[in-house]
Amino acid sequence: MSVVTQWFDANLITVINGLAYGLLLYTLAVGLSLVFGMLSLLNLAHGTLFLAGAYVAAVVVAPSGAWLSWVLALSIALVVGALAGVGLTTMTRLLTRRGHMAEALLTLGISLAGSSLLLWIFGADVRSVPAPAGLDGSVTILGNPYPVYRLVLIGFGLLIALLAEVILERTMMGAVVRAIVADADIVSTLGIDTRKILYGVLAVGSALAVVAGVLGGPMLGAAPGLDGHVLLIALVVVVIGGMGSARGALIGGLLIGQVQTLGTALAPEVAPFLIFGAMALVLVVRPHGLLGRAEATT
Amino acid sequence: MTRKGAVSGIAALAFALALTGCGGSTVAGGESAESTGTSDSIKIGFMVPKSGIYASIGNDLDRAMQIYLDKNNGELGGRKVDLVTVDEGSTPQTGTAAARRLVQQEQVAVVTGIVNSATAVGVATVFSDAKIPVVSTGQVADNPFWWRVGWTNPMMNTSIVDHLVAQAKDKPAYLIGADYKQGRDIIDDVKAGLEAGGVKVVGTTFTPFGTTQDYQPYLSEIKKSKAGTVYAFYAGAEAAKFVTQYGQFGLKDQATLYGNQALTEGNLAAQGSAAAGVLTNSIYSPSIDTPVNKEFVDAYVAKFDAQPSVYSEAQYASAAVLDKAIASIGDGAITGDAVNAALGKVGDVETPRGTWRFDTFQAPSQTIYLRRATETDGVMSDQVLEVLGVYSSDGKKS
Repeated sequence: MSVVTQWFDANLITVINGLAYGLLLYTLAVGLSLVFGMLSLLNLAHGTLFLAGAYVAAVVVAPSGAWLSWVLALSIALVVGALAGVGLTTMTRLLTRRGHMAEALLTLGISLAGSSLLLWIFGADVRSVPAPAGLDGSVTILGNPYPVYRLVLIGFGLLIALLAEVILERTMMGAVVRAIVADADIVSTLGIDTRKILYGVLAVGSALAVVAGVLGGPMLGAAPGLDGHVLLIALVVVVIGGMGSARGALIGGLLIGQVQTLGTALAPEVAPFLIFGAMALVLVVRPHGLLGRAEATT
Repeated sequence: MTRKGAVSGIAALAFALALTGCGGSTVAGGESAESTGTSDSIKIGFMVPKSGIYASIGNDLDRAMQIYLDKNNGELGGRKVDLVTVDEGSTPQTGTAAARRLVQQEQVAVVTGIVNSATAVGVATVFSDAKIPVVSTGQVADNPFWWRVGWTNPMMNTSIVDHLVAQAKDKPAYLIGADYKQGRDIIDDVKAGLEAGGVKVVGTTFTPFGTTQDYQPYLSEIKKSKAGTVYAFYAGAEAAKFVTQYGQFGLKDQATLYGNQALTEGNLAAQGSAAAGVLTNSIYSPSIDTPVNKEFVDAYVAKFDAQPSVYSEAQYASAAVLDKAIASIGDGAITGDAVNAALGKVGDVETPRGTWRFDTFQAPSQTIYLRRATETDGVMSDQVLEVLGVYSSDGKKS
């Protein structure tokens, strides 16, 4: 056996795991990226939405782990996320005239209040989320056990990526969204009501964050502090991929997924610095992210 | 703002978030108590984390204190207790603010609680300078006013090393722990002990503290090492995740997982059946079969519908120690010095874990148990597997 196949055999599980983790990060980060691209709004409450989703899963799925409860948790997540997105848009619109710093500070305040609220409701205990029945076992890949649920996570992530690709690149609505990312003012002059699109994108982006929380529950659990951690990684994914780019978020997510797993396995001593090292490296080569575009001052 | 400015802004923010450890609530505060101690009452400072990462442990302490005071009509040593509860928070900074409040504003006679050892080290001199004794699980170096009711690292480390050297000498061992001072101290100590005892150590890894969400890459390395024994040091949320993933990635079939009590304590509900078979050494288990423990566990379960943790027991023991010490003062004046002197002469104390006494380090010499996480009717609990022996605070077996 050649050195390459030997290496691949030894690290295959880690690579697959990086894929699962990366697609989860993509699900979380794609909304953050689009919202930033369209509104120049840095939504710091994004991590809190993820944690809310994780708690929804912990409460709804925890008792039995049955399929139906899992579908229920995902439905609740979609509704809660969409409502939160509309609420966030409404609140930040009030501050539009005060500039982006005021908006970002508002979302920071919302995230702090949200975290405290979650702590108050669910307590400080670490919650675990079971995978739905039938997916809670392990399969053997080249002699190594791997949790089935994480393979399902890969499927879900790919599905969401495919949907985003089709909607953004193949539909009129997607074209408008991309146009707003490029230049919102020009789109307005065309007689298109950009506000509706803004509400819609924030609602979908927020819903995806909450859904990511539910999906990530069996992998990451639910505990105070998780919100800040995932927000940080999502920001890194967005910066690496390029703001406002769904494809960029996908590439950023997959890259960070591998850096976090394969990188950690290969160089455990420098694990804490790996993702920031990757971010710094990307910014040196491509200051606007891998798929971000340099633009005129807005 | 320009797009380029925004990128560097976000990048800077990401770094800042990373450096500050992702925020977390660190608001200090607490309930205020207006009354001052009278001749037949005693003012006791109760410093527990009500916020931050140790809040659930703080809850265990709070509950145990309630159980003891309920049992004694709100009295310790025959004096009415005026309990001043303050929030320790999760860092030494918040802890120091709370400690100063107890010393300067509340002028308490004695303090108990304090979960975080880093905080304990930070506040030890605040109390000892004011001659206020502290009865705590916190591990603090020599300090004449600090009374340790929990465990010490040497006693925990030596007892598990003795067991592994005797029972699993032929199995290669792998050590893994959270990358901070406590984690490194414990893992390095256990590693040195195992190697001195002739156990082959095939790997040692430290994982980033507080930011590791997924242990798969590390578990993969353990798998490759062909270890038969794994010793892990994790606590809180990290322990919950590590033990769960250890089961998910099939490591349980390869290597027995050992750790000290922090690995399962307070986490068994979250870990679920993944924890079954994990072996931990501890000063306590709710399954210890003595009348004192039974009374404690029954009262705890009846009031809170939960099993007491080792932290609960330690706080209950703190209350028992204070009860006995204050009683010995009788009608004398309650001062910090008087209570400290009484603590020095308190002798044998009977608490749920068993009967023990302070040694010259002002820490218990006590029995260490080996426990196995066991699933009974869908509920996980740490059951005593065997008695490892009586160990002193410096790790000597007697």
